[in-house]
Amino acid sequence: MPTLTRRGFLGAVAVASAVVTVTTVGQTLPLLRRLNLLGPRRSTVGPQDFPVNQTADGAGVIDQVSSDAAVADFRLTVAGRVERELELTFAELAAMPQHEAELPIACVEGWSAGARWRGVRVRDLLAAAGARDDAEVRVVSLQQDSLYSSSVLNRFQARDELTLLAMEINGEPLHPDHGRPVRLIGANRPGVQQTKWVTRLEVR
Amino acid sequence: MSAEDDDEPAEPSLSASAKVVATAGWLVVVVGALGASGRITHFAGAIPWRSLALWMVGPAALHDLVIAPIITLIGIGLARLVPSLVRGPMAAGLIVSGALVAISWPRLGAYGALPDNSSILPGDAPADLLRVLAGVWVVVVGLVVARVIRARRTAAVS
Repeated sequence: MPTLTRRGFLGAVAVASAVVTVTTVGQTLPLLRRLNLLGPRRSTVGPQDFPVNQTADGAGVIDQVSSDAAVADFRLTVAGRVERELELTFAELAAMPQHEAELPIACVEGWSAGARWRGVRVRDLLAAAGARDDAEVRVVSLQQDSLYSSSVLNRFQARDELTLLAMEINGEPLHPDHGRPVRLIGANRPGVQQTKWVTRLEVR
Repeated sequence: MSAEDDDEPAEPSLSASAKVVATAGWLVVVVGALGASGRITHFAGAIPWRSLALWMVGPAALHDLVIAPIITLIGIGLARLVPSLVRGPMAAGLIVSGALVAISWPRLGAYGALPDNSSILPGDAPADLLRVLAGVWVVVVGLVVARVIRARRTAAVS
């Protein structure tokens, strides 16, 4: 009697694949979150119960974003092809109309996690600066010398009502690792393009 | 093993569905090869042949020269020690367990962990792995018990 028939071997491989899937896919699939015992990420673990890829320390921006004094010195510039350049403090941003969006960070590494974000619509900032309707926007971070220190919003994303410069996650001010004081969040963008520590919108 | 192999025709013919699956498989291989060649020719700098070769050949060599011989030796040892009723479920359990240990390797070694980022590799890796393995082996024991009961019934009838 063979130890394991060919069919039995294939069955065992199929079971192994199924068990690996079930014990890891919860890092992106909320339904199986509790079975995610072996995944490298958990969608509710991190600062403010939310995962992080690049920390403020790792990005070299911690001194510019962690203290209240640093946030008071923060400026957001809207420049480029605009009628009037804007330079806004955090307080001025917070005084603008705030909007909420329920959107995920979907990381190409395989994890994703959803949150309720609150902040200023990019399109409101573009309107305030007098940008054209078909403007594209390069969103620039305080983080330097990284592939991901900026990202581009195409003309549809720039005008989308879900595209926010967020200041809050799930009702709390952003943790430095989540992009304090403001980060970009928009629909249908990979996590690396949800630029954090945003300091400049270059309209083109 | 050999008894089973002898029963098979020398030139097994593929069924229609197997041909469809094989064609699909080869198409995927072609797409992968085209994608890989596209990747390679788009490197900005010099093509890193050495690390490419290491990636392509390394895992296969590691498997064939190290992992497979070790598994074979373990298999021979178990075949001598373990009664035949237990062998099948046990082999299946070892296959599943091996896959689980392999994918847990980065967590067990904390490869990629960063001191300032607690969200990378969260949880207690050995404990999590043991919990999943325990579940797998409960099923294996269940299968063995079922086989023993069935064998006794068959023996009683005959």
